[in-house]
Amino acid sequence: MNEVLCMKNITKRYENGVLANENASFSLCKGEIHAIAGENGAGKSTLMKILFGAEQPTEGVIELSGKQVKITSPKVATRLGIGMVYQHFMLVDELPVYLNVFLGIEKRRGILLDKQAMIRETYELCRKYDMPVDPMAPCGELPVSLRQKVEILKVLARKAEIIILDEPTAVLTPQETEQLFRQLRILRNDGHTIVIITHKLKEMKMLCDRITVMRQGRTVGVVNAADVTEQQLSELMVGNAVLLKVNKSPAHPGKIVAEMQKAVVPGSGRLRLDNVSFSVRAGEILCLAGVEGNGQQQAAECMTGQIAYQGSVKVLGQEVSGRSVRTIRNLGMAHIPEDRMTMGTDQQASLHENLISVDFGSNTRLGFLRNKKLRLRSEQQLMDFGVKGQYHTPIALLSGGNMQKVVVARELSQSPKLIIADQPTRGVDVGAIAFIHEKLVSLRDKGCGIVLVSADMSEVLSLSDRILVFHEGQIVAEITDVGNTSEQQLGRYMLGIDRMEAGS
Amino acid sequence: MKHRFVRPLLNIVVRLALAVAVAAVVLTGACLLLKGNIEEVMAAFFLGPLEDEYAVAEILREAVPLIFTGIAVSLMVRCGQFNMFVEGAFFGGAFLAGVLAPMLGEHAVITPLLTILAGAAAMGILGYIPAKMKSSLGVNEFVSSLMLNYIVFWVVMYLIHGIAADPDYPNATPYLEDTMRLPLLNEDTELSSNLVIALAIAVCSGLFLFKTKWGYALRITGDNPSFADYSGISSDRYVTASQVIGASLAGMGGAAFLLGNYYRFQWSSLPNYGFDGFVITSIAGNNPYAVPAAALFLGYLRVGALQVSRLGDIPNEVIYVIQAIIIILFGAHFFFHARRKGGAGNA
Repeated sequence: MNEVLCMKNITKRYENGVLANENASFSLCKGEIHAIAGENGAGKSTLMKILFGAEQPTEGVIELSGKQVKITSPKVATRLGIGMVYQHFMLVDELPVYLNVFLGIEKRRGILLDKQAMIRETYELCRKYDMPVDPMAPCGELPVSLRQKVEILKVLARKAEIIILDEPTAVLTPQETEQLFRQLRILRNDGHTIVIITHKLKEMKMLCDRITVMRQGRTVGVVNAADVTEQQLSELMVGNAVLLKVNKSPAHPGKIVAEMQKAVVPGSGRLRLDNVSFSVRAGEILCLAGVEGNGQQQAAECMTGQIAYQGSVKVLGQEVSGRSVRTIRNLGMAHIPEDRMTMGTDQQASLHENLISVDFGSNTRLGFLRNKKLRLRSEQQLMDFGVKGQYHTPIALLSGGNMQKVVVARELSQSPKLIIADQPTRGVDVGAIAFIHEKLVSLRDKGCGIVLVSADMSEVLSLSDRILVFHEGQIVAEITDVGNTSEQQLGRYMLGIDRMEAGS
Repeated sequence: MKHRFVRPLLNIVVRLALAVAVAAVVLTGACLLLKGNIEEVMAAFFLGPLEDEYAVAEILREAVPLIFTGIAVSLMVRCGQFNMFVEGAFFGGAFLAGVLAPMLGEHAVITPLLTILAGAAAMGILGYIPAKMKSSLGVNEFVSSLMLNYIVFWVVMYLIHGIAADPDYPNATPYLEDTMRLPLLNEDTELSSNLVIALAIAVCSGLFLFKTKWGYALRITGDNPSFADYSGISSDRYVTASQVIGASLAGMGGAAFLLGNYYRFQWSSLPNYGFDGFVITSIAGNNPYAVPAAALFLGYLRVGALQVSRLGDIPNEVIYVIQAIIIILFGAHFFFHARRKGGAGNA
């Protein structure tokens, strides 16, 4: 084994006292694919940001090829041959692929850009690593999976030897994931060393050579992927055994709680929602599945009153159009939004202020908030949902998983009759996923209708009672026998390769 | 509790110290350049405002309009709105008081109180224009409110040279009898009771912002309008309301200021108190409870400046330089923050 990189006893303490890493250690061998696994808030992203120079460690040393280095900025990291692909892509949508790839390191001839050379090199990188990207296409027009390739190309163009990928498969379908893995293997065989941050057990087993497991800021183990089972990995990550299967009995659908009839949502170019009709019943979990941008989000947004539509959308017996969010919520609709940062929370407020936002109006006396009562309730909710933090903690200090728990706590505490859950577990750790799933199932059993929008295959298949697959704004399949459907089959529907005949 | 009060407080103290340091440096520079007596100038600037009860009363008098406009701006900024109409509303409120009080006649306490309420109501109504334009049409409130200032200013100028003027006293409103004015707190120093109103408004605004459901909704809207709308808080409504409330408090301040400190309205230019409001709220960290302290601080600097100019060595202009630097110190931070917030809101 040929160690190229070693991080020793890394501790990262933020100014506000939050301890993100404590005595964490990490080492990389040349030419391996190495996973950093752990729950959200386990400190894996922070550790990698330290390696990439985006954060500075409070204590600890980093050695590259045996020599101690100080990585003070991403620029330094790049010079040392370390590259990172962030989870949220950083591309200029208006520029073509090749200019994005060479952004900041443009090739010049005199004072002019040498476009031909950049196009040629981009093209060669694409060919070498089997990436089907057109160097001339504007980035904004590329699908998510290809934008990710552009990010990888950026790193390669900077001659990175060590490539860090932060949750690269979060936005990909199974087929796209397989393709990405094929390319990563080509990169490894070419001598690159690859680190992927992930919490998907299957992928670690499928792709990686070694796995470093982190828990609560510490590294708790380094294992060979071939030597462990998923169950063992999961135990390492969480500390105790977590069921990956959702425990639930068959659904007993009741009366209709939401209904969409011939709904149309216009978009630029094609319709975002093209004549869609379906209904949701009490006591069932209906999943609107699809690759992002195929209309399932718009269908959910119609029901929550966020976007205008043509046709009819009824929630709990009332037409949504023309009614305020307040009215729809008062009818018994709860909504876990897709984006917890920009919509689901107020990042400048405390946990308490985030927990009372939907029903503070009914807890007042002469206009004054009943703060004592509300505070006790908030404390109770934080305890019930296992959120690490007190009622006055600023929500911005929480990890993604804990933040999502706050959103879920708020929404599920309203005794809803209909829940619109848009990617309720995206970027959330195993423990929190199981918890959120359990809560959703128990509400279903109490007769609540649940609409689940998800891009996560295993979530779709394990949680849903019924699945509607969206493709290009239309429903292309309705799956009622969820238990006997494979990820592969669902993926084929989502990609529009297969289509169920209408009338099912 | 700890991060809620200690950190902002520390922040404010550091910035105040910085402001004092800037004042000292500029004054020293001016003394060296203009051959002033450094010791004398420093004493006048820093100790002069506290030398006797008249000077202290002067600080309080300076602070009153700043408290009103500081509160007005802070409520709007908390909702993410950068509305400059505070300036025009303060001016308009003062003018209205000058016209209305003589019309209502000599009824002690009743006349000034009614006049002040009328000033608040009238400016609230005018403030609805840029507010509604923002919430319904998306018109930038910064620009429209700045324009509204000029409209109010020139209309007042027109009126004061015509129908609103005292026939015996050109370009001014009629004389205010003592009963039409707010009572004095102290005959000797002529400190007006508008200070009490200003402090009461500060406390009420703090209670409103931090304890009531409307204040909560207003803050949430200011932090993140998408989150507000998603939660069922109509952000448009609070965007409008915050600006109307702000304009109305500024109008009230203008009226109370005139009825406390003047015998006629005869201003011929905008007094800048509205713009000072942005400095005040910035020093106060947009917290109404801290606004009076910030206003006292700026008042102290201004009285110090006055004392220095009395010495004769240093021209008054140097004081404006100091003020401008302090405003840049606080203001730069302020507008940087504002833009970041605005960006998030528009995305």
